[in-house]
Amino acid sequence: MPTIELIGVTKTFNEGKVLAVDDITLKINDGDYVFLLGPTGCGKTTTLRMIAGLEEPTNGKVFIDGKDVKGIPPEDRDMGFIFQHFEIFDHLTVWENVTFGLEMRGYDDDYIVQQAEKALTTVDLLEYVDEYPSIFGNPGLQKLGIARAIATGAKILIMDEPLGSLDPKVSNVFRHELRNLIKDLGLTAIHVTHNQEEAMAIADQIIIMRAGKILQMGTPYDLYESPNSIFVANFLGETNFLQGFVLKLLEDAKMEMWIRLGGPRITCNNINLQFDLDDNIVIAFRFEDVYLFPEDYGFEKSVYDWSGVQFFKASLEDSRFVGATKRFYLFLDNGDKFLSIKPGSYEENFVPGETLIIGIHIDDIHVFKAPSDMLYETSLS
Amino acid sequence: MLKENTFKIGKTTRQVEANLSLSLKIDRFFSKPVYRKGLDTITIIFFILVVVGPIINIFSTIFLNLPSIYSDVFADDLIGNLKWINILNSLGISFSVATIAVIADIFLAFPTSIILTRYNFRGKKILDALVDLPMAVPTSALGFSILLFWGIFGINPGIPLIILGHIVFTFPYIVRNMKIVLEKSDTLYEDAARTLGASGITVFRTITLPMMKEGLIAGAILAFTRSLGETGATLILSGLVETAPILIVGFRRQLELPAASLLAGILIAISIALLFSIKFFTRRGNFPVKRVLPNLERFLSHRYLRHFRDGITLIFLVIIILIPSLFIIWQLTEGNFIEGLFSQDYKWAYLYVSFMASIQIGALAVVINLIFGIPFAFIITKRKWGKIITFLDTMLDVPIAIPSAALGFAIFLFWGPAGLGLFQPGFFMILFVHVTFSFPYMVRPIIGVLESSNVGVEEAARTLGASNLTVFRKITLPSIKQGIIAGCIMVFTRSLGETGATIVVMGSIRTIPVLIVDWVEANAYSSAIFASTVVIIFSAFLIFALRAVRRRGGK
Amino acid sequence: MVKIDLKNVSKSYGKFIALKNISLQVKDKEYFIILGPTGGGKTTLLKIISGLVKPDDGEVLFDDIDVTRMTPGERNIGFMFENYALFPHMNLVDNISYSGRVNARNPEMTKKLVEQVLMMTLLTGRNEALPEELSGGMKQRVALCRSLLNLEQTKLLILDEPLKALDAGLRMNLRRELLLMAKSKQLELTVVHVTNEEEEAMMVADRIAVINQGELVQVGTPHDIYYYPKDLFVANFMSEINYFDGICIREESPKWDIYKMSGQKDNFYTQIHEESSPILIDLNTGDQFAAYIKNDVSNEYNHGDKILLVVRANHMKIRLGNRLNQKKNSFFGKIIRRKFMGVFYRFEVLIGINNQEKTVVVTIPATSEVHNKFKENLEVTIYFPKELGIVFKHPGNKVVNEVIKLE
Repeated sequence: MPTIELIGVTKTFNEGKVLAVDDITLKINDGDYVFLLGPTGCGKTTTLRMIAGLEEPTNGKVFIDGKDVKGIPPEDRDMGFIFQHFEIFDHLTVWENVTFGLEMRGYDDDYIVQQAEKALTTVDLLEYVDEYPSIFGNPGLQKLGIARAIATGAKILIMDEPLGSLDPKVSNVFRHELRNLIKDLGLTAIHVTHNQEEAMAIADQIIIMRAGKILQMGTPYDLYESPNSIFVANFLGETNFLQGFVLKLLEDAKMEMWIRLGGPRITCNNINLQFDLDDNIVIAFRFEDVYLFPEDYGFEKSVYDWSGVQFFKASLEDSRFVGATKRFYLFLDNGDKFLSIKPGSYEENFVPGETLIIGIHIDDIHVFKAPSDMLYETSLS
Repeated sequence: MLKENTFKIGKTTRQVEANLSLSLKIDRFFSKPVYRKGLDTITIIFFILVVVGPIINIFSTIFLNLPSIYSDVFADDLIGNLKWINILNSLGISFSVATIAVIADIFLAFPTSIILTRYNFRGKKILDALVDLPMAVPTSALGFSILLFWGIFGINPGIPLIILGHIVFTFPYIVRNMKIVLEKSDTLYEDAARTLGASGITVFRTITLPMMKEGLIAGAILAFTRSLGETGATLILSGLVETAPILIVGFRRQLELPAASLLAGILIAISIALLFSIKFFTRRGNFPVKRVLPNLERFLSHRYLRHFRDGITLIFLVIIILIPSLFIIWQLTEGNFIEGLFSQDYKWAYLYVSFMASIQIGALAVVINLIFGIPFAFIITKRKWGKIITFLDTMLDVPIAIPSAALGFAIFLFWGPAGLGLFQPGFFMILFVHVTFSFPYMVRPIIGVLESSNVGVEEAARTLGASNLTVFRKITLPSIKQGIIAGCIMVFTRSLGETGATIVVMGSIRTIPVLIVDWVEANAYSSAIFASTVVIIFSAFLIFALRAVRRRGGK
Repeated sequence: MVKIDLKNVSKSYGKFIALKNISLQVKDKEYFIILGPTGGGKTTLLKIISGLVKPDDGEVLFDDIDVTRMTPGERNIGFMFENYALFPHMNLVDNISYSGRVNARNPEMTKKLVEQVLMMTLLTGRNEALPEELSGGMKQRVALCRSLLNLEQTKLLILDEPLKALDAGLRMNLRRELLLMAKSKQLELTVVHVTNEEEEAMMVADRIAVINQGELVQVGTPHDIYYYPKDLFVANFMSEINYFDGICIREESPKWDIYKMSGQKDNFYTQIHEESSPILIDLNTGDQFAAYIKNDVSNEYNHGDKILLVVRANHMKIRLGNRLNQKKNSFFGKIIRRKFMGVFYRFEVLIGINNQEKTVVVTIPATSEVHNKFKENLEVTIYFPKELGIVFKHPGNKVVNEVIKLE
């Protein structure tokens, strides 16, 4: 069964001047839907093209199904490839587009008809077989691109920003269809994108890349719940960052930290005791992990268990209704800003300027060493 | 029979190879890198022999024969350095004519290109085609038409008439280049400037003009080199004046080979220098953007002034360019060409033979250039050879830039009796010359479509299992078809119209444009008018065909 | 101080009708969003407001003055283009100060302003840089500065998809910055902002106008547009929805409540109860469903009318096992897919309705731990509060397919 393995793969361009992919090693299991995710220019597309055979690695080896594929041209690798800009053959009809790969493999006519019909039915385009692709808009073209790629019966599907050229609304709907289709066909799929929402929404596994290296890989849940760097925490989902230093080391691998410029003191985990007194640190917590209470909330009467939750005060700057969610913009006495999001039907009506009690569970707080340039780490440009 | 496509990397295709159709099998076989390298090598050898060789040869010939050239040109026993003075004079005339013509063209071309790109009006397509026409018509026919038209106003052959002629046939080169840039440049930047408060002329001067700089300079230099090298029309319009290419023709006719090679060498060197300066100047040099006279420009941008400008432009366009080019057709009704053609000296037979010769040479040049032009265009666009590609790319434009008479002479020296001795002046040497100077006209459009064609589609085909050659046949070729057809038509029209180089290498054969020159010189006006009309209509037909191809390509 | 009035504006390009009879008002100091899919006529509308395109019909008024015939320069507005349209041959300072120069404003003043905005936008020291040397975020800031510097008395800023070309993280931050800038005391701009992202629209807008196929579909606050969409297109555009065909019952009214009014904290539902009234629906499941419709359209629904019931995926609730007896507005089905999406879990639930299978999408917040109970292949009951059911007159299956597939 198809697995893909890269061992120490490096790719340079312009006679070694540009390092696109820097010594990456990864394994993709049979039937997994894997995302290569990262900002523009992180080497994810180059990695994909090396797997497809459109680029040869400068160093390292690519194994597909346990076999070294060095020197095998793309036409002999038997993979489906879906492109961002569709790359539909516009001088051929829909039918000729879909049968192209089958013809190239020399199948007999019955099999070609059967496979092409199956693929076109899957994407709902069977009624357009005799049309030229120019009648389609972007969604139609990409459906055709998918049909063309799956018709050959290849068991590996490679996708380079397949939803990148679609309107956001269309791509939001389409991505679920794409995942369902891939899962129904039982394909091993690799999907490149810079859109973290898309990756979170449909991936089995996500590989986060930056500057040619792999930062972290795992299931969306793992990456979301335990990011290993500020970059990953910021890139996947929406995260608050507050800077401070370690004030006191506590028992049970915990520590008390003090938000800079006289902000609140917050107790957080010090797993493996990696931080020491006075270390500059950054705490990260998700927008949705921030609890909000009115100043006069009666915790003693509450039926819920609030143990492990840190409380401190903050002021509400503004709140905005964004459909499924409501966003609360908050600031601390020292001027640091952060956000909380609640479901859209959240019933509390806090007014701007009001002082609120903020609660964050200790396990929702991630601690990182403060980087020299926080602005750079959190902006992805 | 393999029904179930089990995943076996690298094996799938071999398993089913037995079932592949023959053409796919052949594709697969010839897709091996060794064949590609072989074709590349043959193409490069062709290019070196045909384009690079003659040019290097002429310089080495001059260098090797310096003493004889010196004694012939600078210190002749009888006439001293008279030939050198002639050469200098002719160069002076050629340069002045080219400069004046190009400057006049630029003034006329600015508003014309804007009218043709930014406005929408009835008859725009026809006007556009008419502006392009002088490029396709043989210059000798054009020159003759101009001679007849201005003759009415008493302007006789001489420098003013040469300038009027050169303005006409270099005009399309400038307009076309400006148009390409204007069409490509989004109106987005102009819109942005307008929202920021700039008036029409301010937008043009600060945004449009700097952005079309490249097209303007490229067009101007191309027009300049065309004017510098023109022979056919100039022979008809010059009277006793000798421009540089005409002097070469003269030297060649009198078999003054040392003087001819010196002059050819000088012209080639100047043209190549101009060619390189295109790349240099387009990168540097700027138009004044900073100083702004908003109120004056706002006043000048007024609607009525704009209409006035457009009106003046159209009037000049019609009087200077359009009527003179087509005047000859009207003349046809005046003279009695039947009498001239069917008189005792069998002019109709000459006309027929020349016409056939022109068409044969044109067609063969198209075929040869097609065979080598497509691989060459691929080399330029697809191979990653770094500096070599830059060199080939620059050398490719050389045949366009250098005066065809000089190029013809260089080829005569290289292949003819004085050089390799493979050809004698005559049909095959004419063909050879035509292949050389029209090669870039074939390759450029193909490079154009290849560069704009989508590499992604080719990759898509490869990931679907197509070998390199199958990709070329089924995917690339259909998408560059328009470029190839455009190239063929361009080569054919250029070949049909060429005079200068042909005269140098023709031997006893006459092509149509040369025949027209001969008849005009022999005062057989009515027959020349008929011959000119025939080629003008034929060329007009070709240019409309070319535009039809382009338009379909655009869709 | 500027408010905009568009009166019956139409525009077509040849046979293609870009805008059909659009009338709308943008209030002074309002952050106004024009939302719609690509090719719906949004950009044409912006160009008509700015004067780059003349409307075939209708008038454009700024502060009650007809500006339809004025050139873009005379309207004195800030326009930021989708791809920024920075002049490629001018450096950063020349780009920003362009309007100052072409309008012959005081050069000293312009210079000072340019220095000021460069400082504000952290671009100092890159004065000589050409646009191609700047990153996407920098270009965006330069373009914004350039358009801001053209504002004199007309404080109108027009933004054409200003954040489209940026990476997701940066885009999130800049949305907020744009809003804060527009509302700041020094500027107090009227902003017209075009986007095709509903999230962006709701995050910054005072009011949103939804435009589709050249027609103005709905204008309102984010809250209005989300909870009271005017038609299926708007409903679907604002978030993922489920829809059911049904028949309207007007002979009786629902006697049950899903949420008991529990005192002061129920502002959200109280508001809905005030603005709209309940309606009964037959979905052919053997049970009656209820939803709310706005009071002003309540009369238009007659007994026996075909209607379409729309429920947003995030308004669906989910419980284990068969609870059809306990929960009103409920369906029984099986979870076929479950996916973690960060803030939400997304479930696809297969239900039987009208003797057919139908997939219903349910999203629930990932913060509470309840989602762990819901595994694939488990039987569940899904239901929705009647206050959050949206009802439309049935537009016909063809329209439904067109809207849902978005082609």
